[in-house]
Parts: sequence; structure tokens; C-alpha cells
Amino acid sequence: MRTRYANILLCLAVLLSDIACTYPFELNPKQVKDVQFTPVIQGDILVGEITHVELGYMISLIQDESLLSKHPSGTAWIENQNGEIFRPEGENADKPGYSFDIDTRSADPTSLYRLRVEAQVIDKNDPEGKNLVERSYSSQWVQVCPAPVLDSLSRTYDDKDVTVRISLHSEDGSEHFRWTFVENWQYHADYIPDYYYDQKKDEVVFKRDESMYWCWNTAVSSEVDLCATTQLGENRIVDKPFSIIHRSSQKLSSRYVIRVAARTLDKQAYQYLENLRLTSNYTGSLFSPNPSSIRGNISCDQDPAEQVIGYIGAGKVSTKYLIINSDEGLYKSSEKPEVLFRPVTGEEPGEEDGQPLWWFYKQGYVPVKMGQDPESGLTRVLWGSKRCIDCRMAGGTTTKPIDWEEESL
Amino acid sequence: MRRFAIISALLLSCLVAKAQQLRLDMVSTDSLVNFLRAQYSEKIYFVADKQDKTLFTLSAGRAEFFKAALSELTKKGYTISSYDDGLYILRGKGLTSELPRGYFDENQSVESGLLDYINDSNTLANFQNKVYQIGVKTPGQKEGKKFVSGYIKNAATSEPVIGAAVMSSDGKNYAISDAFGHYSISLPEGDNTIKVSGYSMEEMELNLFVCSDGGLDIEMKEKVISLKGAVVTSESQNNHRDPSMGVEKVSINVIKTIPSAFGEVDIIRAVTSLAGVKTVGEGASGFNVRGGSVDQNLILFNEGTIYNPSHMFGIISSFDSEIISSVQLYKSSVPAEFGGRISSVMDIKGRQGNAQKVSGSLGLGLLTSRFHIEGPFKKEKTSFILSGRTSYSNWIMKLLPKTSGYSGGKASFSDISGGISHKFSEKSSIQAFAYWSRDRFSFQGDTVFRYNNIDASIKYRQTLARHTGMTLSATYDRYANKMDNTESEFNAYSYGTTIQQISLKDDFKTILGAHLLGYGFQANYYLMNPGDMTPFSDKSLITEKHLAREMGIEPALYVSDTWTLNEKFSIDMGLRLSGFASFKDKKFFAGPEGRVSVKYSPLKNLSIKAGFNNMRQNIHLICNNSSISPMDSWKLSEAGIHPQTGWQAATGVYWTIGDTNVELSLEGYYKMMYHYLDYRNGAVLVMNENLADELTQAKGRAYGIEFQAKRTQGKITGWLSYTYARTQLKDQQNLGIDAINGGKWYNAAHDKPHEVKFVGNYKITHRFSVSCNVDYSTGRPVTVPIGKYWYDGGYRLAYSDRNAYRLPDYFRMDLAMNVEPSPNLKKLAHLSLTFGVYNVTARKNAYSVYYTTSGGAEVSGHMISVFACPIPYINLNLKF
Repeated sequence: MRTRYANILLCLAVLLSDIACTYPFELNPKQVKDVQFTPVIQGDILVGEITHVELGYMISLIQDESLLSKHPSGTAWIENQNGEIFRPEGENADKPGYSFDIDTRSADPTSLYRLRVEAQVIDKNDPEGKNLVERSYSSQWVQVCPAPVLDSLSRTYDDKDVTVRISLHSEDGSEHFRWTFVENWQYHADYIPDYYYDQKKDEVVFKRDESMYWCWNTAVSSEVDLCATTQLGENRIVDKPFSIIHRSSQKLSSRYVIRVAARTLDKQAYQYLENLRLTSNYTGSLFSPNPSSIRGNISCDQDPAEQVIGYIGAGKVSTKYLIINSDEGLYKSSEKPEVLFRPVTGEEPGEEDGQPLWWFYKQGYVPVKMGQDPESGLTRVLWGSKRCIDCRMAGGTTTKPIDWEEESL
Repeated sequence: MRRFAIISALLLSCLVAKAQQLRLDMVSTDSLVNFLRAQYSEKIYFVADKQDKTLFTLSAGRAEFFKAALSELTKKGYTISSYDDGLYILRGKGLTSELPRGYFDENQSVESGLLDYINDSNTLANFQNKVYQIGVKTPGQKEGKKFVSGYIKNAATSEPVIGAAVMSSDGKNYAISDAFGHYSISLPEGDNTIKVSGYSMEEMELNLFVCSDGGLDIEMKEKVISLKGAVVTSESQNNHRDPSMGVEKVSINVIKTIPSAFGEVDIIRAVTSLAGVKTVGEGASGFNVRGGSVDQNLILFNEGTIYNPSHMFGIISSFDSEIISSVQLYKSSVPAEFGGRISSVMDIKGRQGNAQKVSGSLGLGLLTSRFHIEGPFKKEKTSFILSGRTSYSNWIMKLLPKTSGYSGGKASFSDISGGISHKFSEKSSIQAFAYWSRDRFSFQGDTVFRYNNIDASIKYRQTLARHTGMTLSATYDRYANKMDNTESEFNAYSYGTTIQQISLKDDFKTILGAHLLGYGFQANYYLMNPGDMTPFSDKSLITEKHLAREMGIEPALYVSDTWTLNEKFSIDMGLRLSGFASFKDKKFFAGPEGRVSVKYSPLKNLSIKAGFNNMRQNIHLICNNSSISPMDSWKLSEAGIHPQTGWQAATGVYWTIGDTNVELSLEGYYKMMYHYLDYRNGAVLVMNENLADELTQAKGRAYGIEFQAKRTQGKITGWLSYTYARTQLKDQQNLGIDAINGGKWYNAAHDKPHEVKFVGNYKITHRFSVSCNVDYSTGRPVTVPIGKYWYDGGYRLAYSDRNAYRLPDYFRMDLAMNVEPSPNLKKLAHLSLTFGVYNVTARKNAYSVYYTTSGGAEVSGHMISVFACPIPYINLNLKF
């Protein structure tokens, strides 16, 4: 009898397990209206730094993502109310482009600034997106926001994750903060190979090669990290978590460096970015606020009603970095180093496991170490996959980041 | 002879005779009187009443026994009158042996004399084959129409029957019983036949001989559903008698048969199955009536205003069905006595409790358990009703998949309702009612939401004269919400809002010939806390902040007249002068509200109506979600936030097809709304001192046609409706390119043009029935991302114009089987059972769609379906 009731409850649970679920969804292409190639302009004016400006397009959700590689072509410059103009620098500064580095290191922080762009953009009235039209865009004049005091970067951890936290405050009454970060980490392959396979000679040759053992990888923050102190007693953010690293992540395997650049924002910039953050993380739940896009502070000089995406702010930056070394014991490897295998000796010389050596090489295996055969007691070459000796196959490069040594110190 | 034998046997069995000591155990009044007659020489006159269940237990010496018996009779509501040489034992009023002074004086007002006596003791009508004389013929009495008034009550429980229709046989005169079961109808002198019909009650036809103004209480029996007969019911008759339009009344018995999610009897869901009532999605709180927003509905529960009618974020309604009598929704013709909202009024009447015996029920469902008890404190005079519910719903949250975002959450609620009714006399009675509820839920471990409702009301009814009645009511309502966010120790905070309302209303009804006049005044006082934010702990850096309290007074005067010109033509007119004084900025808003509806019935079963009304609203729900949230706050009108106003013109045709008991109706309406609150893109609504800056005032237009076929009697009952309706908004403020959708008309979130609804019940036998509910509608408008771009290190989304897209169409079918209790009345308890399946077809209806960027890494689309699978349920109810 009890079993029957248990079965009924189980059936009920299975039936109900599908309540309130999320399913993949795609917009009906017929419903999607023309949103092709709306200009996107980004590039906050960083006083005391190099300002990076980039032009792009917004494309329809149902369009091929490769269209995002299209860019308006033109030039950009920064003006201040003192009459100074800051133009792009570099080899191709004179040629039309979409990505510009502008030296604003010596810019006067007391002046007002704006970004100007002149570019050829795709005519939105052209359904095929081929016709180009000349457009110029101007941002509103903005004040330079002072840099916050970046008090600390710290990390906490539990069984699963390491959480990176930020503490900062403003001394000028600024209530809005944002920060971006760049992560760099060092990791290594499982083994340093003592041998290599000589294809010409079809034999295993002794040579220790450390060049593929150490790698570095990098990642840039893709979230919009913001915080406001409008409800707080002081303009101070304490230990706000902003990055979570799984403890089995490659990032923690050797040395991890996170470099944070923080700025203060004016209220309008904060509202723009907060809306961007919310709409990018919108969950459509029962009580989620209805999403909407809000206009930035850039307009088209020829047609102010034309949609342009982007908000140009200006400010000074504070930076700080945090290092997590493997000797802190935070790394919990989820994968054990690959077990090397020892091919069985073939009947003919130059054969292993009944196959010629080149066959193993073609299969993607490489000789790694010398080991002893427990059966015969003979010392033999142990093979492994290429991944266990080449760290690049885990996504990084063998080139150190420019400031790696400096930050690591 | 047989009777005598029974009485003798009874006496023998219950009488324990001792020397000089008499004793009676549990004997009826009839037996007691017979015993007195046998033991003593006094002449006693008494007529036995079979329905009288009063029992007596007495013990006294022989010398004192007679006196003690009379005393006990008096205590139990009898009067002992002495006349000539006999004693007259009567129920209620005693015998009057003298005419009032001045009775024969022609100049003396008749109402001051004998009629006063008569007025205090209504004739009780419970037989149809009898002629009831109303009043007495007095010399010099003027001819013309007389007023007959009284109470209509349930014969089994003595509870008032609310909303019962009383009408003369020629249909010229018509009355509806109020919340106390009181009615008043004017009838011509002489022979009259009146029809009395009420929801779930047996219809009665009473023969009256009206001499003068007089009282007539009517006892109605609960209906035993006829499997063959076709009877015209009050529902359909109302459409042909009453000029008001767009009035939907649903009895609780019908609501109980409608399948619902998890089997919880749900008044709100039942209302949304009516034509012209929409909801933005399953699991969403509130409802939209003819294009209005959720906050434009006034929800009254025993006069108290309910600010959040849902438990568990919208899945279950706040009202326990066991204490509900009926639900009436005014979609178009809102009586002048109601005001303060511009779309609709939902008037929920609670039961008053069984005035004859203690009874109750126990219920067990998948999510909740409930209990209710009712009975008399003093038979026929004072009764009470008490109910409570609690939930054990955490198990269902555990079943939710992680992708739903609610996995691991917790949700629970409780509510308690109680009421006491007391009848002072035939002229006056009083009701007191209280309701309390609390909800607690959390979707994630670090944020806990709570909200609670408190409502208390007291209502006093007094008949001032035969043709005038007064109802004085006072209510106190409070809604509070609170959220504890402990996500970060240093930013942990508590946030909450509160609204309190105190109302006083004095309503009068007077019958003047063919006019039924209604008039009175109402005053609402609001005290609002728009937001408090406090640090959750000592470590939190949050600053304690309290937004300025808001206060306002909303007075209103109103008058209405229902004028029945003849059987074919009647008109309903009303005027309400309402104002609002905001204490915050010393602003005063005022304006007239007009109500008019006209009915013309070319045939007895065919009516044509047209109506117009305009209304004002001074209190606004601040909500930027598609579905209202328990955490939303309310806002009073002030300098930057004008009162919402709206008008509606409607017309309709109503046809009852012969004896088929099928009523067809076709109604069309056009409605305009002004200062409809909408939100600027990116609006911040929480703890905002300058809220008006985040809001935009829109004007709205709504129009549509509603077709409905309804059958309320017979083996198959239910309704089928089709609605075509549109609701669109337009930014009223001149914001240029920042105007919502560039200042063009855009769809409201609840604009669902096509809707088909079917609610049906098939009674297989008296005990078994099956119910089916079908709901189809066009998908609701949504704002979706239409573009993507790379910005600041990740993919970002650009959104469409507001509500420019639509969700896929909605379809759902539910089935249920209802087993009524055994008709064996001797059983101590009766078990009823409902089992069914919600969303039989397992259609994954979209509640919302959204796109995520996975922290800027990639763009993917998702759809949330609230009830994506068939939900089987079982509901047990034990009545005792």
C-alpha cells in the first residue's frame, strides 16, 4: 500500500517538475522590423590616459553575427571648451578607420569635453545595406569626473569559488562608480617533454623543450560593473563582489592577476549604463521591470532624431591589481595530469604496440618521458597527447603580457 | 389522536416525576405547553410551529414550575400575553389588545399608530400557495402604491440572501436585496404576485394582498438542481429588468466548479474567465477590465478595500471561498455609490454565518488547508463566521527547475477572516467583519519578501421609514510590504511601503413611486508611506531613509435614480461629486462623475441598453512590471500626478431564447482614459523622492465588442464568450524624441485583441458533475530586444519600441470532476471531492520572453512558461 502511495507521489512529482520552466526562444523573423546598421559609438574620454574610441553597428538579432565585423569608416577627435582638439595618433591616424587611440594624458581635467565623429555609415534606408552616407556625430559636453580612491581588492573563498571584491570611495561627493578589469593568468602544461619525434628519421629523439610549458591567458570584463552610494551613509563601497572564479579554474592554477580600473560617473552616465546592465541581464520573471532602451548623449548633426547608440563620459581613472598565487592553496584541480601510456613493443624494430611510431604521431600522440616497463624492467619512452605538453592548446599563448613581470612583483 | 399518543409517549419518556418535583428534559415548545396544560388549569393558547426547534429542560417544584416555564419561554424569544382569561404564547411580538390612540382620527398619521406595531413584526413568507396580507386597511387611507419591505433569508441557515431579485408579476416593479438581505418594493394596492429569485435558491412566487405599507420577510430554500427543468433565473431576468450594463455576477457555487491551478477555488481566476476581463498571464496578480490597468479596479470585500487580492505572487486569490457569498463585477455601469477607480468595481460579499446551528468545513488541497466554522450566538439574532487558511507550498518550489529562477525558493501564506452579525430588530441590524493575511516568499536565499493585508469593517443598517433605508459603514484597510535584502553584508537593507485607508460611508435608498433613489456621502482618508529603507544590521552602510508620508482626503457626494417608466423602459441616472485634497502640496482636485444607462425591452425576453459613465481616480499603483508585484507601492495624486479620469460609452443587446434558458448578450464599448500613468524608459521607482519625474502621463483608448452565451440552469450550465478588444496608450506629455514610442499610439501590456472563453459544467447526476474551462487569446504585447551590438567589452541588446511585439497565442484547457456529498442529511459530515487537471494539453504558454547576453559573451533567447505541464490536483472538503 505504501509503495502505491509512493508511486503516486513520484508520478505527481515528475508531472510537476516541468512547472515554470524556461525554454529556448527565437523571434519570428517576420515580426522583426528593420533595425539594420544603427551606428554605435563608444569611447569614454579618459583624462590622464589614452582614450580608445571605436565605431560599430547594431544589427538585427536575427542577422548573421559576422555582420558585426562591419564598421563605419571615418575619424574621431575630442574637443574641450578651451579650444583644444585631441586627434588620433599612430601609423594610420590619417586614414579613415573605426578604431582610434587618442592621447588625452595631458588633457585639462577642469574643462568640458566632447567627442566628435565624422564617418561614412550605411544608409538605413537602403534595405541591402550597401549605400553609404556621410554623417557627423557629436556627444554632449561632459565634465571630467574625478577618480575614486580604490581602497582595496580582496578575495574570499568557499568550497566552490573564489570571489574577488572591490572597496572604493570618493572624496569629492561622487555617488556613482564603475569599474572594468583585465585578468591575466599564468598556467602550464602537464609535462615538459624530454623527447620529440623526428618525422624524417621516424625515431624518438631526446631533447627537453620547455617552450610550451608556460602560457598566459587574458580576459577582459564583459559585464557592466556599477555601483551607487545614493542610499548609503557615505560614498564608500566595501567589499563588493564582482568576479567569481571557480576553484578548479585554470586561472588559479599558477598565478592570477586581476587589474581593475575604476572611475566615478555622473548621474546620467550611471543611468545609461545601469539600464544597459539591467537589460543585458533581464530575466523576464514575474516581477521584472519592463525592459527598454534609453537614449545616450550622442546625436547625429544632420538629423538629431536619428538613433545613435552610445554614451560618452569623461573621467580620471584609478587602478589597482590583485594577485593570487598557487601557493595560497585555492586551486582545486578537477583534472589530473594526463596518464601517459606505454605502447607494447612490436615484433619489428621501430614498432610499438604493433604499430609504427609514425602511426602514433599521426594519431596526435607525442613522446614525453622515459619510464620503466614493470613487466620487462626495461626503460621505455612514454607517450601522451599533445595537449599534455602544449599549454597553448588550453587557450593561452606563450607570450607574456606586457606588464606581467611588473604586476607579478 | 395519533398526535396525542406521540405527545403522551414523549411526556412519559422525558418526565421524571418525583413527589412535588417536576422535571422536563429536552422537550419541544409544543410538548412543554401541553405539559403545562395537563398539569395546570390555566387556559393556554399556542400554535405549534414545526420549524421551531427550540428545546427546554426544566426542573422545579410543582408550585414554581409554571412560573419557571413561562420565564424560560420568555428567555427563548416567546412573549406571554394575557388577554381575557387566557395566556397567549407567541413568537416575537406579543398580543396587542388595544388600538393605538387616535386610530379613528382621520388627521392622525397612520404611521404613528398601529402600523408602527406592524412594522416591527414582518410577516414571514415561506409558502407559495398562500395569500399574505400586507398591512391593514385603515379608514381614510390614500390609494396608490404601497411599500413592501423586509428581509430575504436562507430557510436553512437564516443567512441573508444577497442580490435576490423581487419583482411584480407585470415586471413594472423591481428590487434587489442588499448585503443584509433587505429589499423594498413598491406595489399597487390589492392583489399582487411577486416573484423572488436568487442565486442558487429556489424561485418563489408569492401572492400578496397589499392593504398598506408593510413588511414581508421571505425565506428561500437552496436550489436542488433540476436535471430537466428550465427555469428563468434572476441572472437572466436582471438583464431584462435592470438598466445597468456590464454587470457580471458569479455565485460562489459556480466559482467552485471552475477548474483552477492546484485546485484552489479562486475568485480572481473565475472573474478573469468572464468576457471583457483579461490578465497579462498565468500567475499574474490582478486583472484588467475593458482596457483598464490593474489599479483601476476597486476590489471591495465586505466594504473594505483590498489592495492586493492575491497570495503567493498571484497563484491563489486572497479570499477563502467558504466565507464568500457572491461576487459582482461592474464593468460598465458602476453605481454612483462607488467611486475612486476608473475601470471597474468588484464587490465581494461575505457570508454572515448560519443563524440556526453551528456548522463548518475542513478543506485539504495540494497547497493549502482551510477551516471554517459558523453558527449562532443567539438564534436568528446573532451569528458568527470564522475561517482560516494556511499553506504548505514549499514543496512545489523545490520541484521547480533551476532555470526557472525560482528553484530553492520558499513561499507561504496564512489568512484569517471573521464576522459577526446581529439583528437588533426588523428595522436595524449590524455586521462587523475583519480580515488578516500575510505572505512570505523568497526566490533566493538572500532576499525575503513579505506583505500583509488587514481589513476591518462595520456596517449598520437602519430602516428609517417604510420606503427609506440607511446603511452606515466604516472601514479600515491596511496593506504593507517589506523586503529584506542581505545579499551583501555592507549593503544589507530592509525596504517597505504601507498604505492605510479609513473610510466612512452613509448610503440611503428611498423608493418614490417608480423611482428608486440612492444617495449618500463617502469620505476616504489615506495615509501612505511611500518607502522606508533601513540598514539590516549594524554592519550595513545603508542610510536610514524615510520618504515623506503622504496624506489625502477623498470626499464624495452622490445621488442616483433608477426610474422604471414602464415595463419596457427604464433609466438609471447617477451623479457623483468627488474631490481629493492632497496634504502634501495643498492641492485640491474635484470633478463630477456622471452615470446614465437606459434600457428598452421591446419584448419580454429582449432588451436593448445603452450607457455612459465617467469616473475619477486619485490613487495610483506605481508598477513598472507587466504583472503587478506585491512590492509595488501606491501613490496619491499631487501637483505632478493628476487624478486619472476616464469615460466609457457602451451599448448592448440581451436576448433570452425562449425556454432554453440560454441568454445571449452582445455589448460594445468605447472608453477613453486620461492621465494614465506609464513610465519613462529606464525609470527608477523605488525610494524616489521625485517620482513624478520618472512617470509619464498617457491617454488611453479602449474599444471592443463582447459576445456571450450563458446558461445558468439545467444539466449543462456555463458560458461561452468571444471578445474583440483593443487597448492603446499615447504619451500625453510633450517629451519630443524622449516620448514613449515617439509619441505615437502603442499597445498596452494587456492588449489581447481576440479572446475566446468557455466555462462549462455538466451535471451527470445530482452528485457528479464534470467541468471544463477553455481559454484562448492573442498573445500579449511585449518589448523585446531586436538588435545586438558590441559595447564595452560585450554584447549588448537594443530593445524595440514599447510593446511592439507579441507573445505567441495563449491556449489552455482544464478539466475537473466534482463529487458532491451524499444527500443523506443524517450524516454528521459530508465529504465533497474535486479532482482535475489544469492545462490538460500541456501547452507551454509563454508568460514572457527575454534575451540574455551571458555577461556579454553571447546572445540567446528564452521563454518562461509558468504552468508548462498538466497539473493534476485533488481537493477534499468536509462539511459538518
